Amino acid sequence: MKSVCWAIVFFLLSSCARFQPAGLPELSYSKPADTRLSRSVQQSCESTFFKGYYQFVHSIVFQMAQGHGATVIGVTVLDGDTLKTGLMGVEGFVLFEAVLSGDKQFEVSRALPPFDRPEFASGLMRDVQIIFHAPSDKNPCIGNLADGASVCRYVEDKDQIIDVILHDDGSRSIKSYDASHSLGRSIAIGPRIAVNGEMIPETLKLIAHGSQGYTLQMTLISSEKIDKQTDNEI
Amino acid sequence: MIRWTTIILFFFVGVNLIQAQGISEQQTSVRLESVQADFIQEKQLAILARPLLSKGRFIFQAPDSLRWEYFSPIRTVLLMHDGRTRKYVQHGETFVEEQGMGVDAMQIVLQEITGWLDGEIADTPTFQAHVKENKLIILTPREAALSKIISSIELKLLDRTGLMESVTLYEGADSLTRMVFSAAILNEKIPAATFTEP
Repeated sequence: MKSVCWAIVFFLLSSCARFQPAGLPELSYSKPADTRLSRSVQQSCESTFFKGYYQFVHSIVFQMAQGHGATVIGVTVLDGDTLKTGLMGVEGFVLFEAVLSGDKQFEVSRALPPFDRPEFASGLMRDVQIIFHAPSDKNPCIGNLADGASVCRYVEDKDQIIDVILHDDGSRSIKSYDASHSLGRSIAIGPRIAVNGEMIPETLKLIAHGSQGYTLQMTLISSEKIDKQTDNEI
Repeated sequence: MIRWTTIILFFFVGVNLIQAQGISEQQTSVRLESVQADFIQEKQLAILARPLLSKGRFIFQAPDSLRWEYFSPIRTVLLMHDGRTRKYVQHGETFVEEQGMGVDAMQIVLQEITGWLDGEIADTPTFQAHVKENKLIILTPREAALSKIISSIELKLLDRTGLMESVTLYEGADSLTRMVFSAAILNEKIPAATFTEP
């Protein structure tokens, strides 16, 4: 009987354990599984992201790994599953503009040097998506890191893994891993502030790892939740 | 990325020079020494549900000194003086100079501005000017490559010589940047430090 119980525990944990290869931090799981706690953690993880129709404007300090950098204005519009993004100079000139639709198709309508490389476009849209859109995996593994932080581990298309981490001090972060489980992006989410009745992170710091890495230090300029119906009437 | 920004800048400066050089037949030719004005910039873009607003101040002194400053949403200062171009961005309480931002292109633009001061407006190789009614000047790129980036620029002039009401830059069918100027001061002596210190 004892061996049967252990077999059941092993079976319950195995679906999450398969996502613990080298490179990914190992998660620990409560035994027996606390369903109520897991649901609460998952809800907290999902509240990291936004649903509906928003327009965010950030100042973005863009820093390449080699040291080159620039300050630009970033616009992000969430329209349901569609994500629109634009980068412009402080003087208003548009450097990059693209739309990522809900079916993962993205269209670049404007891209000026040095933002005209295809890999930049796809990388930027991936960055914006990771920051603002909830992962599509509806059944994340819920566990804890060695330091006690709660984690929701999502498995996306092409075996991309996204960890949403709820730290004990109340802060949050997101980490994404590629198919080989190498760390691709780290996002530190700053404290939330009230803007027009919504709690919005004041700062976001994204680090793209690797030899072509870069850092985006984003500071919120404005945030609006837009009533689409009212807006159309205008 | 600054390359195209400098073209915009070129016209913010140049509009005064156009008028000073007599493109508008209704105006009296005046030698421009300096001009300074506040501005509100409105950015419209296809993806934007709401336009973006910026505020700043623009100061130019002939022959080639410029301070182009934004107070919000990001505090930045672009300085041109004695052949040098610098851009500063405020981080916290201090201004940090941003390097590698196409400074050479800015210096080329300044040379064009100097040419305008010498009355070479009609010969500018970059844009063609068309004077419309109601003190409106339309500038269109001569080169197809540039027209893909900037479709046209509209300069709306005020009655007073050497001053403009607004500049609108069209980047495409759904994108424009409009700067509306106010509180303009013409030909007032400006300290040199204005163009050297952020």
